[in-house]
Amino acid sequence: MDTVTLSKQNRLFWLGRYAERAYTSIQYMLKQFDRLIDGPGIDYEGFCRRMGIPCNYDSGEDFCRRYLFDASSIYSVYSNVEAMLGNGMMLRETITSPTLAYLQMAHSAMDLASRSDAPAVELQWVLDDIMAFRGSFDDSVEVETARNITKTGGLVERISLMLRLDWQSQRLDRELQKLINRLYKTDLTPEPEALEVITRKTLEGDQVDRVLLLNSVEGLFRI
Amino acid sequence: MSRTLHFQYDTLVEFSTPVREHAFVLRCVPPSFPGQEILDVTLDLDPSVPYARQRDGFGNLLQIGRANQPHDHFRYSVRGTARVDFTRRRPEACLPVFRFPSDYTQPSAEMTDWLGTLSLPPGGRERAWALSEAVRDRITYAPGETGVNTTAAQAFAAGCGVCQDFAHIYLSLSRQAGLPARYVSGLPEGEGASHAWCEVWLDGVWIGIDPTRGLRADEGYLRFGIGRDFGDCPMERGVFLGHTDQRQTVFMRVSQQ
Amino acid sequence: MNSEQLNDLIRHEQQINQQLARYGVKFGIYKNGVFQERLFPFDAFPRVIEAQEWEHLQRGLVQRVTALNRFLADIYGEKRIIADGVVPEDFVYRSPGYLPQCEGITPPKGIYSHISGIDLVKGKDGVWYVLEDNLRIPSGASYPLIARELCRRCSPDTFRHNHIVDNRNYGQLLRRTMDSVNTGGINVVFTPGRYNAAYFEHSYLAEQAGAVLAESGDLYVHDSALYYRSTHGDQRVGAIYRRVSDEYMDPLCFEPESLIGIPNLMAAYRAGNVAVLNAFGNGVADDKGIYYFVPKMIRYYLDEEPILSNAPTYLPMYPEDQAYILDNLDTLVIKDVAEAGGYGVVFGSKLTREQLLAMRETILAQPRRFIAQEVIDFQDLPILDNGTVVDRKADLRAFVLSGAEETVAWPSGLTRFSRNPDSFIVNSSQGGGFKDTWILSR
Repeated sequence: MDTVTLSKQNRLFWLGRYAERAYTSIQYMLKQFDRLIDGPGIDYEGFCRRMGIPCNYDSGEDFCRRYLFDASSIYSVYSNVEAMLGNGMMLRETITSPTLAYLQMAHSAMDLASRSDAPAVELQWVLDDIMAFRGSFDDSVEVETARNITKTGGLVERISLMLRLDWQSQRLDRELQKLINRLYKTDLTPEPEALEVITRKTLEGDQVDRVLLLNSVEGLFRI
Repeated sequence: MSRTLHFQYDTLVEFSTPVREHAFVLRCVPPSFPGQEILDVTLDLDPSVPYARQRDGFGNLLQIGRANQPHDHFRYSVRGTARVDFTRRRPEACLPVFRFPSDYTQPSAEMTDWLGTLSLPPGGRERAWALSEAVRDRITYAPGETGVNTTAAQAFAAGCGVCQDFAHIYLSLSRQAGLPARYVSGLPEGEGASHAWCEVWLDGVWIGIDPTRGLRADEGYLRFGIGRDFGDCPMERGVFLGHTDQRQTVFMRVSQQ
Repeated sequence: MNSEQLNDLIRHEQQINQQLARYGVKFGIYKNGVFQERLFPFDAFPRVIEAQEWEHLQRGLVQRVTALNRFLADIYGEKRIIADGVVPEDFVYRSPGYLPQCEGITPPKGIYSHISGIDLVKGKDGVWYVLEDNLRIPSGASYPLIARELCRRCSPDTFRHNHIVDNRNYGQLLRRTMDSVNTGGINVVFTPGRYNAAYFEHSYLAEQAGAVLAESGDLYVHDSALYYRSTHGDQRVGAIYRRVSDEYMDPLCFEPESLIGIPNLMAAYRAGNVAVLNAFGNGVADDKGIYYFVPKMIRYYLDEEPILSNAPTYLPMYPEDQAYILDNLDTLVIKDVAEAGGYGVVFGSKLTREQLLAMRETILAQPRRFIAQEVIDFQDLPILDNGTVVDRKADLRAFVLSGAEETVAWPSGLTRFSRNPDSFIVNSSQGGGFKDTWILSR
């Protein structure tokens, strides 16, 4: 059915953001786990600062465990996966039950990982399920604007994380380009000033201050 | 003796900060029925929004609408002329619910006990009046002691209230005493605020009794709404978006031609 | 039935439950004020209903729901059944489910209970007894619906070799019911939101029926019609399958403090501009007290003998019944008519002497508040409990759909069982699980 309410628009957008944040954060954390094996500590304080979240961790190990799995913290990856599933649940008849099942599976895998001694294996399952979710979403959501809203949300999140964490920055220009192309295929209304900054950087190749760019990406939609 | 009454009823609700998406139901236009004929009537709303006209399950007239845009006040003003003529009243059926307790009129044990101590006369009419007198003796008129959500049992325990409470207490007791009775909201002749009284079903005819004043609701009483209790026929009900303080000013006048 | 295939199905029980978890088949409960979602445990032993038995059941169910719909139309219209002395008026007008706001309103196509859930048990005597009618918002159809799909996946042979009526058409039935009363516009399923016990069901049925899932902020009433806020302009709603109780549906007509309702929905309904499934005010017909009169309604409105039996029921307000109740209090089950969901149900056999005396006093003081029933010794069904097969109490909620053209019983139902060997209460909010219900086609 070709009907998207404003509240659905909001959920579709955030579904895209949460799925992307879960995916990127887990990838990032897998790297940190690997680094811990060889001894040198990880700069979790810097991480918290760049993400703008409170830093109440005792050690690298504590950070790896609690940033991932602490269900009582709204900043944890676990809570993020919960929010992803929660938004999906409110969209069942738009995204279909088979698609929603992958979010449910990602959530179950996250549960398993939280109880595991070597969570990297189960975390890989979470990534698998999110990838399967993306494929199923693409395939079964018939309303094009709905698909594009979720993808736009995903791009906003990905760029935001790249800028914050200085992560895979060689891909930044390409992702910005994708965002610009995508957002015109939605009926979302971008904030003109934020759009102007992103356009200047992307299409005209201007140097733009990282913080200004980040704020523009985060503030692109009032949603 | 019939009376021709001019009536005017203005309510202004002011909001400290603007509200929007304001949906409302008004029962601020008196209906015509045998004994009360509305000769002409106008309703003005401010903000001026369209409204639908319907009747509820009790036959009350409803004015239903919605003011979407932000507004810092809501006013409704009714003006018209009515002819009230009791010689035209006809026997009517009684909705069975008027025999049973309702949300506001659920009797407390205290009320039931008190009713038991009264020696009410056997005849319906005499009983109805004796009960009105008894309520007036027991309850003190005291504005500000009760609120719109006060039940008959609460007001009875407090021993005081305003017209709405007198009506609720009366309804609760009269239904228990075997007299079907209903709540009436409307305007009596004079100036000031809106009023509430009761109607008791006697020999098939609804007879108005004003337990607050201990008077028969005569041809100077203009009926707007009826129901089991206040909850069925408030003059205005509304919901809106916005955190705000409300201040309501009411002015009414009913005068004979 | 072929026991080899049944064993195959039982062997796959864990797999079926895993599949149910994968699809998020859960119900929510509030425990100590905190919302939790729980999996609804599935037991693979099906309840099997023979073709002939179902034929009898479904005729009885359709008859019962037809009479209940006639009763609702009568109560909010002419009230003949009261005038003719069949149902005492205080049973109607003291019922919290009776809404005078609905007086004189005829819902689209005259249907009040579109989706009815009739709770039955099968006695050891082989007779099916109706225990309760649910005409407001009966839930549960989604569980057997999705379970069948998953059972077929996990144990295809079982379904290849048994002749089981396919029950997976519930979504289409629901859609047909909604379409048949739709006044022009889209169909929506209205949910109070994610933190509702039956949220899985709301979203799943919306998907299955091809309807839009909506919350209160998505809908509004304008000019006595209901609209859905969409990014492509607002759309008229022709039928709303609402999963919210009457009192919270319209703050301008019912409970003023309700935040989840749709202001002035009642105006759209009154004007005949939207079909509300189920209609407002149905609670007057599924009251535990009114239950006593359903067989009488069937005779009164349809001039037929009831096909399905009620559990033998007594009303303390009738002197003969009262005497019988007081003499047999220790064997009867006493139900408080104001309570729902398995609450307010007391078994006389479980009461101490003092409690029996106290109950006696309560009944004498408030005879209208209670009904008393014989305890039906119902058939147990096998369940698998930690690898062992044990017998447990189970009931059946049958679903009956009433549209403009037809009233049909869904060839399936929700079979719930109690985990606790001593408990007769199978309500999912009090523990327990569910089974598939097979209707055999021959």
